[in-house]
Amino acid sequence: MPVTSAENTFSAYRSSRFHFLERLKSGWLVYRENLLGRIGLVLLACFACMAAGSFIPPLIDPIYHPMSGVDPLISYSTGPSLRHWLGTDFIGRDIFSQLLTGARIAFIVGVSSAFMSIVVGTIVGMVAGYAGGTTDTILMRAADVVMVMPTLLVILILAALFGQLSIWIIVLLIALFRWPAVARVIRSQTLSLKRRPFVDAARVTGASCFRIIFRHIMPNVLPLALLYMTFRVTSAILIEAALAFLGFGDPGTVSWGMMLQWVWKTGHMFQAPYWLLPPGICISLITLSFYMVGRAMDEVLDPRLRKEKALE
Amino acid sequence: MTLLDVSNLSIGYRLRDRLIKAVDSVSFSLEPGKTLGFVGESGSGKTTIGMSLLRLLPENASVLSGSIRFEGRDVYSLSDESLRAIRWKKIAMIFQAAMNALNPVQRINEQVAEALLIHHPKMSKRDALARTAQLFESVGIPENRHADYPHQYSGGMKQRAIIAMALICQPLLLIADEPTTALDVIVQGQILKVIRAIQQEMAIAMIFISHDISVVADVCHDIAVMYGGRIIEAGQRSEILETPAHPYTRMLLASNLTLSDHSFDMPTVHQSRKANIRHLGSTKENDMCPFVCHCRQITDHCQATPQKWMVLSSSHRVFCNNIAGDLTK
Amino acid sequence: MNRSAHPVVRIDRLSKIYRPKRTLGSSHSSHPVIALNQVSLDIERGEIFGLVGGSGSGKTTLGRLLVKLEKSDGGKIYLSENDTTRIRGQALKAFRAKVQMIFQDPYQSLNPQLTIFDTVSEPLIIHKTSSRSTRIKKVRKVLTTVGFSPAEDYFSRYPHELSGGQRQRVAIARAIVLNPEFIVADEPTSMLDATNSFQIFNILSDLRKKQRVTFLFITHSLAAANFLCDRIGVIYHGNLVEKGPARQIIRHPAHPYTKALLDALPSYCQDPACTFHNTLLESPRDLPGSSHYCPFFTLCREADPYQCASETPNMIHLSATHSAACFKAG
Repeated sequence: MPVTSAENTFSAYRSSRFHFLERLKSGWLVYRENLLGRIGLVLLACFACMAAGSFIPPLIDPIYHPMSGVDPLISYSTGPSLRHWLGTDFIGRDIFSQLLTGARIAFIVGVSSAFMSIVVGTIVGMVAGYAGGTTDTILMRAADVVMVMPTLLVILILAALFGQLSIWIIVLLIALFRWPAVARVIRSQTLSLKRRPFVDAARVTGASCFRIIFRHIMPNVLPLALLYMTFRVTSAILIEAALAFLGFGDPGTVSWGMMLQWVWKTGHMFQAPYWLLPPGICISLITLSFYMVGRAMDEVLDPRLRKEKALE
Repeated sequence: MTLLDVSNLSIGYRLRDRLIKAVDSVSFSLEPGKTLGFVGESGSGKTTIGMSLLRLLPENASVLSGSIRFEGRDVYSLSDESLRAIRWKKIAMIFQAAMNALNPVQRINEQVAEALLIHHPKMSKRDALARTAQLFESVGIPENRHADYPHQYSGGMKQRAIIAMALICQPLLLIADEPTTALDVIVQGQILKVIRAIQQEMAIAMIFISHDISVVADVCHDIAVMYGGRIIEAGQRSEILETPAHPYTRMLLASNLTLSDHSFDMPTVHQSRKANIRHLGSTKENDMCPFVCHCRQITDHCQATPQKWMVLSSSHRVFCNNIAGDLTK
Repeated sequence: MNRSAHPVVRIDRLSKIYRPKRTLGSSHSSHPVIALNQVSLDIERGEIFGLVGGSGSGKTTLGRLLVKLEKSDGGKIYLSENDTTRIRGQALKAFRAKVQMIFQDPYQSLNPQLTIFDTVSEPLIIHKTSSRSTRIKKVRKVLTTVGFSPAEDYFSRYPHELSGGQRQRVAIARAIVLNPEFIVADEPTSMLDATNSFQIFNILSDLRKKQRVTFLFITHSLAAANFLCDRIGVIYHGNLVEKGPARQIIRHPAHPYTKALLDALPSYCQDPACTFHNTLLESPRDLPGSSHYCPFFTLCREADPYQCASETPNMIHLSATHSAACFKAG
């Protein structure tokens, strides 16, 4: 054993810090065995490709712009053709490029609002669970109040009061209404972690509450928070679609809900299946695939659900 | 006639990518009315042996080789029907932490009587309860507590009820897996006393599994010391306690604290504790000493050649090649 | 009493009562549980004091009160003659650097998400005592002290990669990295195999010898206390029933509960020179009607049906160092 200096050791220690990657790898091994999870992941990959591909059509020809690109030759809704793979809408815009843009919007809305609600929910849950007492009561009652509010209805009323909401306001509103369930789950996890002796051990060494929450409790609840994020994504996409369909979406963006609203408003509901079906199917599939990914992650995170038992 | 005869038993656990041998070439036999204690650290395979005797191994475990014969019949070739006839009626088991598995909404004596009624359907409930009361008396549950619910019992009382439940069908063999772990010190003393008394009174054969050699020494005629899935030394109580031969047994005895002032000379183990579970497939390894990583009397010989059983007396044997000259010390 | 005038820790009539939370739906009102009843103790500098008792005796509660994981409901705790019963803020943080604890379950007392280096160096970071390079040196030193060699090999390991004995040694390393004056060791070996336990005992014993650390060693086994401790206190249902030098307690126990603890040891652990005391009743007697009685009355074979049922015994001094709370003692 060669004698190493303290600094050398430390850098060696830093560089060998692949624990996270290793855990990811072993998690992936479990995930891979789950059929639902694989299907969900493949579907998500397709949607991601769609979202990424949404920038291409307008570059090819301005008439393919999902919002402003109107085919000069067509001013009404037509079925699929070589020129327009999925047909056009009532003023001659390309449905395929609208569908691609819709995927991008769905990802933006879903992931960003889920992320925001997870951040808020996790912090509130950890603080409430760790602090206990009055802080816990106040935070959890606030969560209850928000939780019982019908999200869609409140956003509708807000939209009616303040006029059209931009997509980012909608994202923010969804996030604001969806954190309480996360907070509850994280709080109960924190309550059980708080009683684990390693938290006592941290207290005995003099760690502050801040340190205990963010250094000791957070790494242990993060996997759960991530799992909840996939479920939050599902609900955020559905809420945005519902809002847009009801005519309260952001008029400046093309989302799948918005496309459905156009079908409905222009009376093509039963005349143009080529227009109605693609956004409808996409909404169902993307929520389904996030859900399937979530279920598979659940199995990775909860060792009790794993099929094999480890040796004691 | 030998009641239980286990020969060359190996049990493996299937993991995702490999098979792990938890019990490796274990042989022992038990005469009626005798008690055999298995002692070893956690992961040494002692619980797995206990489970395998009743064919209660978890799904991912399987018997790789060897046989278990109970009253001359191979337990692993019995039909489900005849297995059911043996379980509890002839072989009963006290599981680790069984006292937490009592049904909270049923009176304790009824639960115990029910175990009897299941195996003797023709018996009347009154007779079953009478038999339960009799047994409760001998395990030391006072009469006014017989019909209590589990939550009204202390840990020691629950454990007494569990012992009664195991004995209710008058089995020939009782397997007790760590029956006193997690109990209060004083209660542990009482339970051991009960087990000892009952064993003598009913002349029941017993396999007693524990990590604590002093507890095993308290109730067992014979002791088998396990390490890394193997029995590394077996013999009568006095042989193991007074003339231990295997370095691990000696270490175990030296580290077991007692009230007398003998000198505590045991070098601390600093080596990493790895490789006590060996992977299957490399047949070369099969008869290597499982203690090789931690042995302080290790020689080059130990790592190079397979170990053999050394017979020290008609009852005392040790799985170590390095003994001969050593015993004279 | 001829003791040194300055014990490291002095406990004066310390009490702890657990009051059940009144919750909706619980029909029967449960009684408050007295976990500790006016316990007084001195722990001298450099000694290992063994606190022995059965489960539910309050021994862990006493340990947790001493390291201020819980608040007491009466009585005082002095650390080097400074009253630390109600300290908070900076004073509490300074206290934390001097008093540490080793927990019972090494599988639970280490954060599974932190490396061994992060776990052991955390106290140094919290108390901002050193630069990064001295931190590494210190961590290496304490890990070597508890028997990891070469210590660097373990820096980036995670708890789940270690055995129970190794984890407990990491927990000891974390406890000693700040050079505390006093460590509470709460049944540090009850989850470990005999050979690993022995190693832990040796480490604690070395720490006391070489670094003059004072220990409160909590255990349920008189054999372990006998091996490791200078003095022993026996606790039963929150009451300190006997205290004195270890040899004295083992050889000449005065309280019937101490005798029962000695009897309960498996015969292999018994001292052949000692007799069987047989102080335990086969089945417990009923509680006396009065509000004052000896806590061990229900199980004591030697109890006097009048005196023991109507008075609470106080500590009686049997010698300068040995005392017991029993009317029959002495």
